Amino acid sequence: MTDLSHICPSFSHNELTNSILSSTDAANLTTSDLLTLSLDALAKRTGRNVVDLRRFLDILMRELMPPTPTPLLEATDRQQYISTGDELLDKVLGGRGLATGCITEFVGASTVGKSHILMQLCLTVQLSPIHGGIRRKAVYISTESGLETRRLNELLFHLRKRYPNEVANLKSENVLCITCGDLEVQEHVIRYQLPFLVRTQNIGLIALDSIASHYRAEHGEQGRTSLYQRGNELIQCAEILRNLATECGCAIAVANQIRDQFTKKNITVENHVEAATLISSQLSQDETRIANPFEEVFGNDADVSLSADFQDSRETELDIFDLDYQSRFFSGWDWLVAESSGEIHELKVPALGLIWTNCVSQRIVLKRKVSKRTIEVVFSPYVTCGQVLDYEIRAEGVRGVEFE
Amino acid sequence: MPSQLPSMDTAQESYSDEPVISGPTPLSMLEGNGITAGDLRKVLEAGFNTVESIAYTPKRTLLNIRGVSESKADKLLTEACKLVPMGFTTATEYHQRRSELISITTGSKQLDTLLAGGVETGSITEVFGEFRTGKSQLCHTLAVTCQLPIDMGGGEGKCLYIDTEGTFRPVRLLSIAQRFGLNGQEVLDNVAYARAYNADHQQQLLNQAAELMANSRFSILIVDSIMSLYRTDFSGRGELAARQMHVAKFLRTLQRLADEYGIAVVITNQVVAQVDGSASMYNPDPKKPIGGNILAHSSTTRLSLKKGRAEQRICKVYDSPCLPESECVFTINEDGIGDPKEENE
Repeated sequence: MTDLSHICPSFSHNELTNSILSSTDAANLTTSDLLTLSLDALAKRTGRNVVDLRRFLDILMRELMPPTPTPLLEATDRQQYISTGDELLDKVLGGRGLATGCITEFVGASTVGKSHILMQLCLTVQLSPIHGGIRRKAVYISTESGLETRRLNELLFHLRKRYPNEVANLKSENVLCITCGDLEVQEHVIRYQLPFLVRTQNIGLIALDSIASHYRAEHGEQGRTSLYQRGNELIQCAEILRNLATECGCAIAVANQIRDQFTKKNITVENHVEAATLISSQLSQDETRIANPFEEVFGNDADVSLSADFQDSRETELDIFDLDYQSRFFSGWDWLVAESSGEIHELKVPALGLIWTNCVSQRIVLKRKVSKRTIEVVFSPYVTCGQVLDYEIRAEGVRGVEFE
Repeated sequence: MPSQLPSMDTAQESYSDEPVISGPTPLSMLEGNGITAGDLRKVLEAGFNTVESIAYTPKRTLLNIRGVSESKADKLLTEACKLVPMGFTTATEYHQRRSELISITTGSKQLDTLLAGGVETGSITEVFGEFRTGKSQLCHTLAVTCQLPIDMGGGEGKCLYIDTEGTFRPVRLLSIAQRFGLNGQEVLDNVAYARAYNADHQQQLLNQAAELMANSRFSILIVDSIMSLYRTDFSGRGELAARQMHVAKFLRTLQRLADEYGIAVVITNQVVAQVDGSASMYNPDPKKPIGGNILAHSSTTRLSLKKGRAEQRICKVYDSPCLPESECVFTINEDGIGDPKEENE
């Protein structure tokens, strides 16, 4: 029964359910066990009589009944968007800005401006609908160095100047923030404090900056079990956020860090040796690949010659269904393009691997080459993907730049 | 993970600073909705007397209480968090708290202007550049200026200096102290110096640092340089993942020290020449700091140092959440970091 409070937080307790729950707890039964096991089996495992269990299961099933479905059009009407405050950026994001009701990931190297975009959205969410906002508050959860309030105030100042009649709505009081020092605090905040806050405070945007930093620091050292656990925790975290998004209609903007991807030539050799363990590398595209395969490639197979022609001959063997091959379609960094332009050494991929990629609905990649910055939607249910826009970070915020 | 407990404790302290309308909430308020009096008795016996104490306790700790199952801990936390004030603050309040953080002067007016007052407390500042660009000199100067009174641009606190390359020279501190009119002996007494010999030792020193900081007022922690031990302790791609994990942990501990004790953290970093293709087209000076994406994501302000004419050095803001990207010139003098003397030339 360890999972009922997650699956059905609204479960109403009475004396009967309480006493039965404590016996199912003791018997270590999950909610799906309760629903699938026969009454006799349940009675045997919990030591309760069948009549009580029957009554309890009736209550449970009633509680777990899905709510009446809403007509499709009504659901579409409820879909809202938060403008970024810039027409060109909004256009790249699908015309009206950031969609609510789903998780959007902003990924990029340090200095590309992820936090800037998040802060900007924290303010524009407060605008009235005519100016592209939804007139709600924002939560900013920081796991790195805390909300940069000086920059937030600067953005606020410029936004107020731009919309003089919105001054009453635009307030830094409407941005709630918290800094999480480690993963434990982060989970505590997301799991217990955030849901209550969002349900009671008219929150329209949850900004999480960034999801990766604590997961990267605290997991992965002990090898695959830890990565497996990290994956589990990530999925749970994403589930809480997604539920909040659909339940309260708020937008979730999550910043993610990047890591280096080893060049395709290396990957190709690795695949040759590691073909059988592809599944485990899918489990966590992240550190497993760095930690283990190379030890195996360069450690055990010391005889493997890494001459150029050997690599070339392997290169052709990269299977089209291979995760590494496929990653060009969802990671945001296309190795094929990078290779043809000779920038294969600059190849990056979002941190946290395939598991996290599957948790987000939209991925937006921010890139920077010296002073030229570009933004691109990699995948999204709302937008035509693949449009690239140049942008600049100015005093008044992040602004798109039109091509000549 | 016992090292994480202190952070929760301080979290509790900061929460209790917030105005509580009616004092602590009695535990009995939690009863009902799946929580029985029996459950509450168990929690009470484990030493949790108020709803607040439960709301800010990690689930892992609650699970250690005899008779509290995972679902019960979940339930307790969910209900407790509904009753007590949130850990969230508004950006306005947060800004106020942040603006109380001071900046420590670097000794050069131009550099201070570039950094909007100096090296910021409460965050990590990374200084990188080739050898002889003034990284260690900047650290030596900061080790002294951090002891100045606040109205002189100091931090009125001691300095903790972690040296990984053996470049620390107390003699330099004496001449810098003279410039600021400080007693040399006292200045030296106020610098806690530690030489780190390997990456694990470097991490261990931070635990001791936390102890020191709890006992007296420190205003700056300097690590010179952060990556050099990692470069030798971990080699090759096989150990890269382990290295980066270690670095991430180290940086997080630094960030936590900065948050908890309001100190400035200054780390220096080496650079490597970028040998691979792409750099030359766009970047005429293909040098980049080492430490990879983890370090890049973790440091708040990144400063790049370059050599100029003679004793002049150029400092460029490479990455900062609030400073514009610009640069300035400073000099390295006998008495520490200073401004170029235009009229003498």
